[in-house]
Amino acid sequence: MQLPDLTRQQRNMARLAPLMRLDQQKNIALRSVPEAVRDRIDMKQAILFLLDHVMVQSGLSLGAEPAEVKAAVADAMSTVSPASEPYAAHIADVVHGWLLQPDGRTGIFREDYFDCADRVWKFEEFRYLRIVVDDVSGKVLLRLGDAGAIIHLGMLDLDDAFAAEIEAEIIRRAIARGRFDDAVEAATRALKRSQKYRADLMGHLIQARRSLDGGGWVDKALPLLEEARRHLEERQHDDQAVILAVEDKIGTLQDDLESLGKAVHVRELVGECRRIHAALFVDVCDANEKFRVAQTRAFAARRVEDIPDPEDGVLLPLLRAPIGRVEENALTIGAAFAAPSPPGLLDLPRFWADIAEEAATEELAAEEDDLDVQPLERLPPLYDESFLSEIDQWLRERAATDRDLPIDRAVRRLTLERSAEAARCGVLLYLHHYQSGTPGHADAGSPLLVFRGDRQWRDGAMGGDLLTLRPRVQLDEQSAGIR
Amino acid sequence: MIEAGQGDAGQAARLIGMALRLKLDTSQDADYRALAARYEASGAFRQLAAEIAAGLGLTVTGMLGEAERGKLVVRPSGPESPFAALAADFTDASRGLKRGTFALVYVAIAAAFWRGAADLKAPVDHEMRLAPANVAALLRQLCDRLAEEGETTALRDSPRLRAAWRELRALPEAREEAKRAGRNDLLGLCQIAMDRLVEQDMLTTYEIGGSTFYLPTARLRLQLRETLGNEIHRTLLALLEVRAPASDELALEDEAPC
Repeated sequence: MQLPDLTRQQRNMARLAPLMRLDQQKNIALRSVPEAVRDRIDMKQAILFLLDHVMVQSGLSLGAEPAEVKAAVADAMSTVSPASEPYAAHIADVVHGWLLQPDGRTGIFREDYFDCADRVWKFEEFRYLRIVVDDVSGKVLLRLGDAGAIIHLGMLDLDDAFAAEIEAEIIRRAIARGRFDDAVEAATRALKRSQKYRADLMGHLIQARRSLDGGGWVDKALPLLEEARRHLEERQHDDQAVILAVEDKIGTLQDDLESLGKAVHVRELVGECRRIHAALFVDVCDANEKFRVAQTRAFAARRVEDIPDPEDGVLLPLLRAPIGRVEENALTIGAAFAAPSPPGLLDLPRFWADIAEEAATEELAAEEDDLDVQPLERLPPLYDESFLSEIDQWLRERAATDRDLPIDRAVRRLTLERSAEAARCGVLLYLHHYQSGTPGHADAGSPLLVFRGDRQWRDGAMGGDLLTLRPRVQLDEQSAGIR
Repeated sequence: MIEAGQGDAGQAARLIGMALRLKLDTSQDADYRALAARYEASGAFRQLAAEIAAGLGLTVTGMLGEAERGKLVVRPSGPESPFAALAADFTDASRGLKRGTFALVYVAIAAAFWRGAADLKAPVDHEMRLAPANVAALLRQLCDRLAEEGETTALRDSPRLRAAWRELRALPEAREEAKRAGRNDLLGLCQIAMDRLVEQDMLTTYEIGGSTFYLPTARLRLQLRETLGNEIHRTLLALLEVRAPASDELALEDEAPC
């Protein structure tokens, strides 16, 4: 029997399947949310909000920051569903996790579909979101995966190129008739569509580059590029015309402040569209050249690399080598993985000045007219009890893991993971840790500093070895050993 | 501001100083941008910067990104360098555990991200994220493979002559109930090594629904490309006791990028 060719439709349906599944499983995924609220939550909708935010942000910059994405989804969900703020945040978290973590390691979804031409079941591997690390800032960003773009675009029932033209016309007419609300609406839609168009086109180009069979590029990508270039030229022309029209109108609106505000907003939105189109135009013009380079690389005889393969060339020989030899070379290998960190020499006077700084300013700020200053029995703690115990717990855990925790590493990590305030608090805790008394309160009777006991302390008081946190037990054992 | 009349050496040293601030990039600092642009444009200035860096115990790995938005990447020139904090960790590690095992874990992290040299050199077009368990699994898998191959070789007596994979296999599996990573099991070691690399701006973390994944930064990729051709390659040659290196191997070492 001759089968109708429904391969593409089936493949696209396969891409939707995981989203539907999450919605069906919401009783499990959202079991902490009360049933009455849960019943009125649509997980597909939450996913669409998330994909949309990522797409918009990717159009504007390098990608979307995960925290912002989650906040946007939580915001949207608390508006469209009866979920309260914490529940909405929980939903955002669940959706984000689901989209990224189907099998933990790769985040790839896998679904079966039937290929009508070949008459066999095949599977499609895809992802909705990609995690990228920005090269320079090292920040982690989210971008739309191929399936994410298709889901988002597929839900639109208009052809993008066609729709853009219509929208430019709608904006122009709305402005001419003074219907600014409509113009803002249309401009927002146009902006979104430009972003989608960009994501779609880039997705196609990346796909074409990946499958370097050459034919795919000439047959599919080249016409696409040609069309995109023509389309973008027209768009830039349209955008310019709309901006001119809006600016003309703005000139006549000096009295009507409300309309003026809206007209300015429309101009900004269209300006944004134009920026995206211009950026995309550059991408499109570069694409051919980029592909040529990629193709040359793929078809060139695999040249002998001047560096060994990490797995077969380095790790395996190392595993085969005697452990004694590996140990001798361990330091060199370690250095090869190290980023330079400035020698850990602590400038003690400055260090103390830094951690004592806040106390000093507090003293200066004391009210001068209050003459009845009473001496305090005991200094009040600088930090909340809960904050102290949190940082204290952090230090204890690290110290237990690493056996020693030099103060410079603790300060670095605390600054990185928490805040400068947490690092300061950590330093104070260092001084009072494992002493009798409450953390955060000075106790004059016990030693302040804990030095590493391996060397004479004068030698030890240099570099990163200066101060080290260690469990009390270990110190006791060590001193017993010395005795 | 770059001070008027500041000599070339002063400027080159300033650039190295900025490169030591791992998180700083040229888009945040106009001076850095100017110095980076000069570094890219002038061969003599590059040479000077490299010499100053070498004197301090640093090697210039290269520019990441471009002068407008990028950074200069330097690395400690060896374990003796005063800037090699990670190497100092290895001395610590030797107390709790043989530091050779620790070195193997670092190499395994690199191998888990990039199996072949070509992957390391290719532009990033797919996402790479790993959890410590993935690295531990790779190591165990490779050790098992070596065990299958080497079943017949006699076990040598001296513990220092035992093959490294036997040492790794002897490590206990991670205890599920252990809350924190420990140095005494393979998973804990991988966890510690990856956390160290995060501190060094070599990896970055991402939280998904309570579990943490690690992603490589461009700095790690760039540095590995350099060190695999130089330091690690030389270490391998030394390690495998290449007594009379064949001529092509010698050529390979000579050709390695400086």
